[in-house]
Amino acid sequence: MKVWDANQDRAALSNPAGDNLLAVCELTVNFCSNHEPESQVLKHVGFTIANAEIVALLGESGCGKTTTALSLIQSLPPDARITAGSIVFNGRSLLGLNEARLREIRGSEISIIYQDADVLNPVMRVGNQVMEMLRAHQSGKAVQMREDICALFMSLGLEDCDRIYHSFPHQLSGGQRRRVAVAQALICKPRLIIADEPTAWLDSETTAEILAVFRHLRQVYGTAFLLISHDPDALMAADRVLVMYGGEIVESGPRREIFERPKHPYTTALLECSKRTNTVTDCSFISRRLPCIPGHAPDPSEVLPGCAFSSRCGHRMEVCESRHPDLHEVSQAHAVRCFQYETTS
Amino acid sequence: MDSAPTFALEARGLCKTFVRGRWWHNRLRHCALENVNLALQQRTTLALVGKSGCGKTALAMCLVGLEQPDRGEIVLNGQSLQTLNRPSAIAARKEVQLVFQDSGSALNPRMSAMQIVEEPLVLCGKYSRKQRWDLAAAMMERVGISPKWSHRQPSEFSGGQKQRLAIARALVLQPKVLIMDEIFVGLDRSIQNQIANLLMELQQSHGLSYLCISHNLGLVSQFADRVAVMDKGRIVDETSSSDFSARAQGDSATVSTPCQQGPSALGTSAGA
Repeated sequence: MKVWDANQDRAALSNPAGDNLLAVCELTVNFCSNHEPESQVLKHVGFTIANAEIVALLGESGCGKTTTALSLIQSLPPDARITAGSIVFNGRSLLGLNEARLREIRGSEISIIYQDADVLNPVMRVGNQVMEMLRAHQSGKAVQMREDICALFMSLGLEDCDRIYHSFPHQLSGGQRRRVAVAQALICKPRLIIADEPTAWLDSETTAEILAVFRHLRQVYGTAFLLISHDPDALMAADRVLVMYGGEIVESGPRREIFERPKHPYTTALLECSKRTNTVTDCSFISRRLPCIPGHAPDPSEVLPGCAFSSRCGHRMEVCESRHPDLHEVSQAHAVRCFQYETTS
Repeated sequence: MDSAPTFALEARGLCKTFVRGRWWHNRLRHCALENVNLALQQRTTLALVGKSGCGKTALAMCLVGLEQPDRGEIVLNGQSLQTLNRPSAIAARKEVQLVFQDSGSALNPRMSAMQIVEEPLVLCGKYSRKQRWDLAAAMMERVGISPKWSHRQPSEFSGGQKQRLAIARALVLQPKVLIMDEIFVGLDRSIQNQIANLLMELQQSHGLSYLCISHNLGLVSQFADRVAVMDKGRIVDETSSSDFSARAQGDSATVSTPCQQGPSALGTSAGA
């Protein structure tokens, strides 16, 4: 049995841009649909990803996580446009590149695992779809490529790989389709993988297998990951965590620091929700109510002068509604966008 | 109501085999369901867990009538659906609603959010335009989608919002049984809990029964009353959720070990 990746050593770990593989600065994205006022979905988002680093992006549904991911490879929907900011990948700016250059980068240097399960072509066998990705960026013998793909399928837990290779997407289960989509993103061994809910629709055993492949890629090829997930198992793989709320980054720091000592009220509330309530045996209705953050997420079309979380925050002060908070460093590499920590900075 | 059967939905000896390939030399048989017996009690939540590809979605499809089982019987409120004639079977089917696994692709991309939610009401043909609008708006509000977004199309919603829209569509007909295929995927914990609370509230007020397919064992053990475990097309175990969560905690240690061994195991094989 041939092992996936044994033939390649494109472990180009040298990096002209110093430590950072990707630097996003002041990224602002507006959506302008025809029947609604223009809304700012991303507001001055800035972060960096180093080589071989796994960065997790957390946040409420609709807060702009997927928009951030899509703007990195510039495949935003047609009604969205990047109005300000810069994206520097591997020492070169991605925003000025033409479509042909971008196509070379997409897939081979930055690849994405999409959130939707319907990214596969319904009239093409899934093996050929992965092969298509490999053919677009590399040359080689078809037999060799097929062996590579089968080996990757095996390591992702698709054991029946001959059957899977020749299947159409509708003949596979949701979890199997998901893993084929993951294989498509991994097959070219890119420098940066954007994984939008990579473990959705998968059981914990398969999740572990996929995360093992991620760790392996990182160790051997120095691949960096931007991991968008709510799955606690997947989040444990991250080195650093960015918390997003209402289109901006409200807290960033090392994973352990964020999970053990969260500073921003939103992060605290979110982590509070994931705590297990041990009242399962008590079947009365009240005790079975699960904790959640009251209120609604802010509407991106409304421009608020103050903090976006202020209407749902338990520690609201007067200043929260009148002025927009800045990111304050509370400790090394741990920054929070909240007025509570303004004095300590 | 006095003669209400104990089980809202029952599957008796369900079998389903998918056949692939038109000719004898490339024909493949994949047995998705093998003699599945499952009973969902009235006003309770039954969770269905199992490995990816073990037949959970195939079972859900058979139960709502989107796939025809090869053998076996589906009993809804004490009535076998196979014995009913077509009009009454269709009427009975309204009582069972399914929330699809991938809500993003289950919503019509050309419809507005309001049209999507009120479509079941249009199809059942019993409500006036005003009533439909009110019911749909109220349901959208309940799942946390503001009715002022009602003219938006699915592409303008985030993944989590689409998920909630799909739930609103399933609930708007006020079914008796709701089958939910991985509805908590892609949602943050606060919204997962919010939806679980909403579903539990509706269960109390409307007497709903749920069959919930999920991989999220933490949430399942809090949300469900009973848990059924499926493997390779068979139901291998069925316990109460408290027993299950106690066992799952024991199992989580064994599950996490391959994850830790994984990279090194892969590393050695890559070098070989």
